[in-house]
Formats: sequence, structure tokens, C-alpha cells
Amino acid sequence: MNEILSLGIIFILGLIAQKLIQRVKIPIVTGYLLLGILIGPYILNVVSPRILRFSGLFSEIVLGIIAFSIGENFSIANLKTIGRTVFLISVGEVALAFLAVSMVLHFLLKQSIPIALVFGSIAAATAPAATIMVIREYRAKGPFTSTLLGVVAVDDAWGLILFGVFFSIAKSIACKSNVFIPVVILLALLKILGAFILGGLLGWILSYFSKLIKNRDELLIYTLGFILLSVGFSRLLDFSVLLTCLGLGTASINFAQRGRKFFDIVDSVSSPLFLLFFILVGAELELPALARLGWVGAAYLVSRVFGKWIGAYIGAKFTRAPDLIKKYIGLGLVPQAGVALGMALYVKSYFVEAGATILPVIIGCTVIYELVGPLCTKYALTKVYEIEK
Amino acid sequence: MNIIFALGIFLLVGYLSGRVASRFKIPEVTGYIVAGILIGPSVLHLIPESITEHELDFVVDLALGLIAFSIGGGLNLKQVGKLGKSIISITLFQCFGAFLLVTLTIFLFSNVLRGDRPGLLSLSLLLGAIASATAPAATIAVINELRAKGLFTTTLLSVVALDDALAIGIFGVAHAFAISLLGKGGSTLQMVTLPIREIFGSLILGGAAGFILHLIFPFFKTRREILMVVLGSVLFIGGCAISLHFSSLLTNITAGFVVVNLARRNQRFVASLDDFTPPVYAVFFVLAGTHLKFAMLAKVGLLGLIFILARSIGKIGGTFVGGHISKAPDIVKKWLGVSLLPQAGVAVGLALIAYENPILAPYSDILINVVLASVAINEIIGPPATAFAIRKSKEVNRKLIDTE
Repeated sequence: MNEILSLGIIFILGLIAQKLIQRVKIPIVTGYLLLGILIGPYILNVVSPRILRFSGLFSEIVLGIIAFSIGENFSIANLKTIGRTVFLISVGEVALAFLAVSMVLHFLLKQSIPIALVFGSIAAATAPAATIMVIREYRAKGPFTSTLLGVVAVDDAWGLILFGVFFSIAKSIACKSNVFIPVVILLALLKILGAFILGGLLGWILSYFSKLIKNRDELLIYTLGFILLSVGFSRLLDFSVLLTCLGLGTASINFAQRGRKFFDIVDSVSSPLFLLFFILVGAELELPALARLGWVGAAYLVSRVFGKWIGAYIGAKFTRAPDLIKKYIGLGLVPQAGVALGMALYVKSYFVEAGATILPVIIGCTVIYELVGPLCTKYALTKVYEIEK
Repeated sequence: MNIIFALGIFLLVGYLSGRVASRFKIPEVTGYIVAGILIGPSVLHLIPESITEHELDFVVDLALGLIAFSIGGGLNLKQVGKLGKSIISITLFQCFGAFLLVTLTIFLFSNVLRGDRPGLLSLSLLLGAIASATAPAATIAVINELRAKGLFTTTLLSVVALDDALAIGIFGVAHAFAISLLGKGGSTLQMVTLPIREIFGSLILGGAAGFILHLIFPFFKTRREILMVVLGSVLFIGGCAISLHFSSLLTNITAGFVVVNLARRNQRFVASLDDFTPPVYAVFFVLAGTHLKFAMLAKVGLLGLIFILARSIGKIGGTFVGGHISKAPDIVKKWLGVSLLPQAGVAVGLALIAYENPILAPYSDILINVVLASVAINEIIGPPATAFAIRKSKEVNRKLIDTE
């Protein structure tokens, strides 16, 4: 079977899944993921390996588009209203998730301190893609939605710092070597800053030259070109694709006149890309890892969500955020995917002893988080009345 | 250099060159191709060949499917009406005129190249087939720009659309012919049966697909869904055709044609692709431009010139003869041929199909460079020629242009 035909079949099955899933009032993204699991290597095994190879490339592009579109919510005006709330909530949920996971794993399950620390730092990461999809599908709008988008976006930066720091500490404990923590923090900060500066610079260029654009066709080519360039650059420089494209989007909404046009035009073509993306994500979920989760997996799974929820609640306490936001924001932070997997793979390459325990757990939990996460997000959005009827 | 980076550069360079081109009133396509030449290995060498050669094949397949489906979707039988006879006659004569004339002259002059007789004959046949294609997109753009309307314009639109379907058919035959000429062990019988199988297979598959699409379209209502179902169908239909060794272009043209003519409501579905295609086309044409090699161009310069001249004479002469036989109005007879000179996506696409075929490898560089040179030149002189011919026909609507 050639690739074009495989893609065509994936599309058509995706549409059928979408039509079916809409009847049971479950988010479409869950339908795509389930379909992906179904046609993936562990059940029907009908996706050709060549498609799966191409999916790595493709998913970076889609992640770039997603991060770019989060930037739309970060106009200066919007940041002024939600900035403080987002900051405090994200600090709370990241810290509590880290503490809850590492303490439960160390004290209850007797994991060594290094392993517990690394687990905890990975727990901070969330995945924005599925959350965005749910928000987009139900056209959710309001203070909860924009706060959630903010927290999801900032999470990636916190995750990078936390992981950078505690991975180094864990390794130095395990190997009894010395690391100079300020340097590690500085390096992580530099990478984050670099990503933002790169994205911001490209976004400024995008805004500056956008006056020349004459029509919709040009606008689409132009905007996509900049997104791909940002993804390409950040890969080249080993920056976070998410943060770079977030910088691009944030700069675009703030520097350009009528900056919304960039986001609207990308939104008009992104549906087919998202369909393909989530089906391929589903096809790559490793079902067998579920069976090997064990107690450590279960503990990680539960304590992370618990930590996120309580942490977000505590963080929100310090703001004037409405009660509804306090109560439900943690539910939007359940999904975990590529970023966490990337961290776990990194652990496996550079800290082999810990990687052997950590990687399978993260892989297995990804399956559950990805499937359950969108449902939680939808539940939260319904509860705060931000879904249009 | 990673592929995503390269794609980003393709898009931005494409945007830039399209902008510059439209400032000089040249079609964007020309800008894209010239930009591709500039960033390609011949000039700046910005993108390594490892990326331009085969990594992006799927963009080519996708773009071709979309182009073909749109062409078929543009062929609305209702518009044709009474003009049917002259449209068919003109299409046949100018299409075969360009095909035969180019094939013959290229074959006569091909002894400047190294190669054996069957090889050169194959090359000539393929080039002849590609010569018969025109550029619906560029033509439609000119017509829209002039707000032209009338008998001449309608004839032109229908001829352009039909011509490409026919050109793809001719190419299918030529391609199958070339493969059996060059391939070892191909029998004479196969030279006849292969093309017939390919063409009829494509028509049947495309027709069936079009009918099924007509049945399922009503289930999809929102813009997002419509875009997804059309995109998925184009990929699926193209993929089926490739698997069965049919022509994916002809299959998609047929599907588009059938679905649009079954019901008026289906036009919305074909039109939904317009939102999605600009970046795909930009990458497609810039990528095509990177295949142009100056060193090769010096070698095939003469052939390119012959190709352009023979094609023009074939198109203009063929239109005259076809128009004469079907008793078309003088203005159509005289000027329609001139307006058929633009050449773009279909020609490039057909050339890339030949380029990707390993059997044709010894001739593929010559072929693609002749075609790219011709497309670049025809896309510069073609659209103005079309505009000129439409002005001659006095179907330009001044009022509409002025009021804007």
C-alpha cells in the first residue's frame, strides 16, 4: 500500500470516527486517539511503518501550529488580566505535582531518592495539544479557558527548568559526583530564553513585513512559512519547539496590527492536520506498556493528577480568581504526551539505571492520560459554563 | 538542514517571489519557479539536493491530486451549452496538433543528444504529450482579472479544462508506451493493452469515486468537515489509482468532473479546496524549480526552443483548423490558440511523474529541464498573450473593473 492511499484511508476512517463519536458526546480527539490505537501496531496493524516514520516530522509541525495558536491568547492586554493568575496557578500545580509524585514514590513505594526526584520533575509536564483540541471543538471561551491555555503554555517552561535541575541533582546523588546547580539552572533558563527570543524575533519579522500581504492566499503561505521556519530553527538549535512557536504567536498578536488574522487563517486549514496528528499519536501509543505499569505506575498516575489539582487550587487561592476556576483548572492539566516522553527517553540515554524504571511507566501513563485527559477537560469546561450551547 | 526548515524556506521564498511576480503582473507560478531555480543547486544552493530530490515526493503526489480534482471540478457541462461542437473540435485539434508537432520535431532534432532510438522516441513522445497540456489556473486568473464574459471566454474555459483531461490521457498512453519501449521483455501486445487498461481503469475508478462522493457529501456540513472529507477523498482516490497502476491524475479529474456534474450542491465541496491549496502549490512549484539545472539547460537549450515553438504552432494552428471545421466564429478561430499558451502545474506534474520513474532515468534530466524551461517562459509570455487575445475578443468588462 502506498503512503497516499494510507493517508486517504486514515482520513476517511477519521471522519467516520468523528461522526460516530459526536453522537456519544465525547471529544473528537478521543475518537481520533481510539481510532489510532485500533489501526495501530497492537490491534489491526494496518498503518504502514513508512507513515509512522513520517509522523515524527509531521507531529513537530502540528505541535508548532498548536503552540503558535496558544500565543493568540497572550496579547499584552490579556496578559495583564490573567498573567498573575496564570503564574501563581502554574507555580502551585507544578510544585505540588513534583512534591506529591516524588514523595509518594520515595516514602510509600521505597523508590530511591534520585528516581523519585526524576519522576517528580517529569510529572510537571503537561501536553497542550489535546486540551487545545477540546477547547477548539466546543468553541469554549471565557476567563477559565484563557487561564487554562496560559497555564498549559507556561507549564512547558517550568517543566524544562524543573527537569533540568532535578535530573542533574538525581544524577549527582546516584553517581556521587558534584554538580553546580546554579549552572544547571542557568543553562535551562538560557534555553528557555533562547527559544522565546528566537520565536519573538521571528514573530516581530512576521508582523513587520505582513503589511505587504495582499490576500488570503498570501497570508496563509506567509504564516505557515514562519511557523515551519520556527520549528526548523528550534530543532536546529535544540530549543523547545513549543516555546519557540509560543514566542512566535505571542509576538505576532502583539506586534502586528489586527494580529488575529494570522491565527484565523491557520485555523481555517488546521482541521485535517489535527485529525492526522491525533490518529498517528494514537497509533504510536504503546498498549503493552499498560500491562507493565505496576504499583509505581499507578502511584505516579494518581499522585500526579492529585498534585496538579490541589496545587492549582492552592495557587488560585492567592489570586482573585473565581471559585469555579479554582476548583476545576487542575482538571485541564491531566494530559501528558510528547514532552514527558522526550524527558523519559533522555533519562534512559543519560542515566540508564533510572531510565529502566522510568521510561516504561511514562509510556504506559501517556496512554491513560491521553485518553482520559480530554474527557476531564471537557468536564471542566462544562462545569464552568464556558461551552456554548 | 532539516526538512521542516526547508519547507519553511520554500513557503517564505514562495511568498516573496509571488509578491514580486504579481507586482510585475506575472503569474505567481512563474515567481515560484524562478525562486526555486534561485535557491536550487544551480544558483544559491540554499537547499541540499538530499532534500529536493526525493524527500518531498509526497508533496508532489498531494499537489497533483488536488490540481487534478480541481480541474475536473471546473468542467461544468451546463456552461458548455450550444458551444459543445466547436469546443470539442478545437480541443481535439489543438491538443493533438501540439502533441504530434512537438513529438515529430523533437524526434527529428534529437540526434543532438546521446541515446538509442527507442529512448529518444520515448523522450519525444513524452515531451509531445506534456506539450499538449495547458494551465487552467493561470487562464482562470487572467479571465477573473479582466472580468471577461462571453462566448470567447466560455469556449476558452471549457477548452482549457478538457484539454488537460485529454493531455493526461495522451501522457498515459505515451508513458505506458515508453515503458514498454525501454523495459526489457515488453511485448507489442502490452504496448497497446497497458495504456488502454490505464485509461479505462482510471475513468471507471474516477467515475465510481465521483458517484460515491456525491452520495456521501450531504453528511458533511461544517467548513472543517467539508475540507477534511474532500482532502481525504483526493488522497484516497489518488492512492487507489497508484496502487492499481492507473493514472492518479486522470482518476482525480474524472472524480471531480463526475461529482460536480451530478449536482449543483457539490460545487461547494470542490471549492473548499481553494482554502487549503495555496501553500501546497507554493511548495510544489518552488520544488519543481529546484530541479532546473543550468548546465543541463545549456545542453537542451535548442530542444527547449523547438519545444516552445512547435507547441505554439500546434496550439494556434490546431485551434484554427478545429474552429474552421466546426464553423466557430472568426474571433475564436484566430485568437483562441494564442490564449492557450500558458503552461504550468499539469505540465510540471507530468514531467515529475516521468522524472520519478527509474526506467526513464537516462532521459529524465533532459525531460524535466526542457519542460521547466518551457513552463518558465510560457508562464511569462503566456498570460499576457491570453489577456491580449481576450481583449481582441472585446469581452473585457471595463465597467466592472472601473467600479472596483
